[in-house]
Amino acid sequence: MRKFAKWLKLVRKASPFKNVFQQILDIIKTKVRINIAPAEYYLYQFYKGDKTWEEKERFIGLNGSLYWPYELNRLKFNVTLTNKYIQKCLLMGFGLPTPRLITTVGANFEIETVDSLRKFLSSCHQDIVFKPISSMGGHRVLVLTRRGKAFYMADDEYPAERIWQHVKPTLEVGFLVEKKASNNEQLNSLFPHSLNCFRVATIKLRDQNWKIVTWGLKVGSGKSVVDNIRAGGFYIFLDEKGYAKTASSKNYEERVSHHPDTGAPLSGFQLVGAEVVKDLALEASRRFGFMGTIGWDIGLTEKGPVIIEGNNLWGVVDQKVSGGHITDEIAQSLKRHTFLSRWDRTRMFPNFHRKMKAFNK
Amino acid sequence: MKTRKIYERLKKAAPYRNPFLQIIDIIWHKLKINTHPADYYLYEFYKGGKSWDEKKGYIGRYGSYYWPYETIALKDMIVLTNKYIQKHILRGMGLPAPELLATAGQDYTIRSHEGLKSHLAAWNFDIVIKPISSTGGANVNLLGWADGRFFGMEGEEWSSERIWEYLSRHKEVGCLIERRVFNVGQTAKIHPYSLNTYRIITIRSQDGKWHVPSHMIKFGCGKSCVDNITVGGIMVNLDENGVAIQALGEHFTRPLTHHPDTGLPILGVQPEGFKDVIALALRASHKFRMLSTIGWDIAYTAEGPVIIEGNTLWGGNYQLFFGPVVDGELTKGLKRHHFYSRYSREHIFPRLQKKSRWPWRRIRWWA
Repeated sequence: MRKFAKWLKLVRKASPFKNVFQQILDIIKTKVRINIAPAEYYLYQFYKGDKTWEEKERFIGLNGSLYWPYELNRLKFNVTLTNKYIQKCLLMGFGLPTPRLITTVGANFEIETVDSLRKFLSSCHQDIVFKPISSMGGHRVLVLTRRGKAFYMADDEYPAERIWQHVKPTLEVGFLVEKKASNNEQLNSLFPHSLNCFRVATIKLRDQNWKIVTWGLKVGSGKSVVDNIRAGGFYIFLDEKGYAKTASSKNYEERVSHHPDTGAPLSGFQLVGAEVVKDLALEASRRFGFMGTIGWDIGLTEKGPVIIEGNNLWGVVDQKVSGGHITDEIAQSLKRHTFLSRWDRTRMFPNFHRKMKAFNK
Repeated sequence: MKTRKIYERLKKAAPYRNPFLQIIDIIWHKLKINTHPADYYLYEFYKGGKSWDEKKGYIGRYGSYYWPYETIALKDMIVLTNKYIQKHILRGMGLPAPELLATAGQDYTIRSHEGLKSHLAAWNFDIVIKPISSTGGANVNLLGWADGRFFGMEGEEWSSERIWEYLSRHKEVGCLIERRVFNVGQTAKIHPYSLNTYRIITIRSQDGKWHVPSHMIKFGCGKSCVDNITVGGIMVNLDENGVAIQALGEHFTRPLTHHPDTGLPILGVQPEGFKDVIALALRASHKFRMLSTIGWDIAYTAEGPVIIEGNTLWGGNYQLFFGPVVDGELTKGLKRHHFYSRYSREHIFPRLQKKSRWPWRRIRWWA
């Protein structure tokens, strides 16, 4: 029922441009011609009719599109990014800059009980981040600041018991405890309460060289300690040289000029020293050479860029504003899918690792 | 071919049981302790003389009463099966491993002959080249360095062209180039050509505790630079104090007391660093908490123990001679399987992206 209501909402939103019958015809035509799924037809607002077929071909859809870079990521390697513990160990092993891993919490990890957590917190004198080993969209992340003998997130005190209540439901998955990374001065002026990260998506071309597909800057807002769009953050579109062109909020549907909390302008300025972020993204991609495309979240601190995480399924919703990500050069390295192409979604969504009830009680 | 193999097994077991009794016995073993027919012959259960409790402790690759492999999720196996990933995870976890000098292959740092030459010029020590994905020491090459040149095990020179040719053959998979590490003391003397490593099996029980049910050491043979059994190495069983109590060579077929090449005694010897090696295996297992059983290959060097590699599917063939892996306290901590238990072999043998066995499914009707 909820799904039906969602579809109805989409159809209604598109109805000023095309009636329902025309929409159905257009969806079929879009699928046949450029292999775009109905969900993305509405997401990218193709019903508006303001894009040529050549322009539409450049769009990437999570549910399939003419060019589909995610298929370059082989399923067997996905765990190196989807499991943040493995990813963290790899980043450190590659010698790439990343916030220091202090400890791990969870079943069979270093901290397994509330007592050991309490002991750890009493000996920890720095700001820390609790991050689930498997999650997305900044979900269940705790950013704790040490003030005196206690830890705080914003103005809320987080004693060991409260943190334990937070991590307890997902102890099986586990949490990483990292040293908190801080923005450099310029990024801090945009919004100081979250680590504002660059999102740099890279792709491996046919000649095995890596190229940047898109990049932008995510900025947190309100009381959020993360910068994710899902958590109410903003996305700043950058040009090649790191100049902030425009900014969007609320799932890229609203343009914003200034940050509502800090009043800082979110467009029309040059980000200083952002080139090193791109260099790091390319360097890290080369190290993760077994992958085909990665969306990097990179923070820029006073000491330089640090990799917060890499994502095998980087979001594409920003195409709503920026247009399709596929350039001629990238297109040459990708397979052209027709609507007849077989879709091997197991590459993206593995369903083979079902839980082992005997062990994962 | 398969029929011939089965026939040979039947024939080998015939002095103990006639074929009809063997079939009855196989069914009985399957029903009672979930032993696969292949493992029934591998562990020579047809001979009798072993109690059911003892037989339950044998781990079979195709399923057994206790089967620790099942809890390794397929998606996590890559952390050990791909040596490039494994190597960097080990480094990231702060675990000791031989120094990685470079990687070669189409996705790696050395991609051209020129690139290789510049690397070779900077190395004035022995190196080991190993494919990123291989088993049984296959295609592992040890190159000694002397006077600015590299030499193979037979003393033949390996020019940069020859090394490049070798690397090109494995460019799809890729190769790791590591700095050679050396054994010390008696372990080095018993077979100096190869790196002789401990094989430490660790298993995590359901309470999350790691156990070390088996500890062995392997020695190379002949001019082999690796100690793997598949290339003629010797497997030596160690007691709880690390003293060699049994040794087998020639693919587990020949009991030994002395090394066939150097003539040095093996039995009664206590290889160096046993306790440090066990401690490292347990420390590493704790870090690899996403897995539930690992076969560690650890070498003891002058700098202490170093992890050569970890294996998800450690071979259990040695159980025929050294006895079952699972016994004592560990039996209480592992899940027990019965003949009706569902076997998810996908956990160990990925079927993903493989071609369908049904020919009509292989045809792309729409293409």
